[in-house]
Amino acid sequence: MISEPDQVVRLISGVLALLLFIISFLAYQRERRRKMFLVSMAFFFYAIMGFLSASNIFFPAAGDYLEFWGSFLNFIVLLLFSLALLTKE
Amino acid sequence: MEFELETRKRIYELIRDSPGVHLRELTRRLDIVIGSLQYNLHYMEKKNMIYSIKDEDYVRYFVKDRKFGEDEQNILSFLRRTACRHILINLLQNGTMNNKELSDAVALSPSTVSWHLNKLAGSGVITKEKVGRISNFTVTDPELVAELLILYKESFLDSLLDSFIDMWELDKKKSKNDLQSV
Repeated sequence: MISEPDQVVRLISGVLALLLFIISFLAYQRERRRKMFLVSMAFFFYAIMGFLSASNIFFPAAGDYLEFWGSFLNFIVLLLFSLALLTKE
Repeated sequence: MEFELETRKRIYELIRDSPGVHLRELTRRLDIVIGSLQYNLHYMEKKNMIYSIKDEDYVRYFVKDRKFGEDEQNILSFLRRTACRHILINLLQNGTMNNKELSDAVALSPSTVSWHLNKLAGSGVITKEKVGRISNFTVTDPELVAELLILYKESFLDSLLDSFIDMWELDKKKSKNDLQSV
C-alpha cells in the first residue's frame, strides 16, 4: 500500500508534527502565552499538511484537490510562525 | 536562605528516596554536620514535611503524605515554570526587588519578567508595591514558598516543556548566575 519512499517520509513528518503540536499545546496550557498558542497551531496545521500530502497513499484519486490544500496549509503554517516571532509579551 | 533551602531540599529528597533512613546515615550520605542536620530536621518536622519514629537506638525519618490546599497548589503551579521559580528564588534571597533587578538576576528581558510578575502578583503569590515610578516586589508568604520549594520535584514533562519554551525565548539574555541547582 505504501510504495513511494517520499510518502513514507511525509507520513513520518506528519506524526512528528503531531508530537510537536502536543508538546507546544501543553506548553501553552501551562504558560498561557499567545506566542505558544500560535506555535502550537502552526504545528497542528503542519501535521494536517503532512497527513494530507501522505493521504494519496490511502486515497489515490484525490489528486489536484489535495495539492491546493497542501499549498494553502503551507502558507498558514508560515504565517503562524511569523506571527509567533513578531508577538511581544 | 539559598544555602538553607538547598540543604533542606537535599535532606528531603534523601528521606523521600530512602524511607526510614536514620540520623547517622543522613549525616554520612549528605556530608552535613550533625548539628546543622538536626536543626533542619527539626524545622521540617515542625512544618509537617517529615516525621520520625523511634526504633530502638535509631530515630528513623519518613516524608509525610500531604494534601495541598488551593493556595499551595497555586504556588506549586508557578514553581513548575522555570522563569517563575527563578523569580521566586531571587525574591526569597533578596527580600524586595524591582523588575530591572529581577530581569538581570534571571537573565530574561524586562518585558518577559514583567509578564511573569503580573501573573504572580495577580494570583497573590507576590505583592507589588509602587514607590514613585518603580514597582517593588516581595513574596507574600516567604515561609510557605520556601517550604514548597523543598517539596517541589521537576517532572520529565516539566523539563521537556521548559526546553521547548526556551527555544522560543528569543529575547533571553546571557545568564549571570545559574540557579538550576536550587
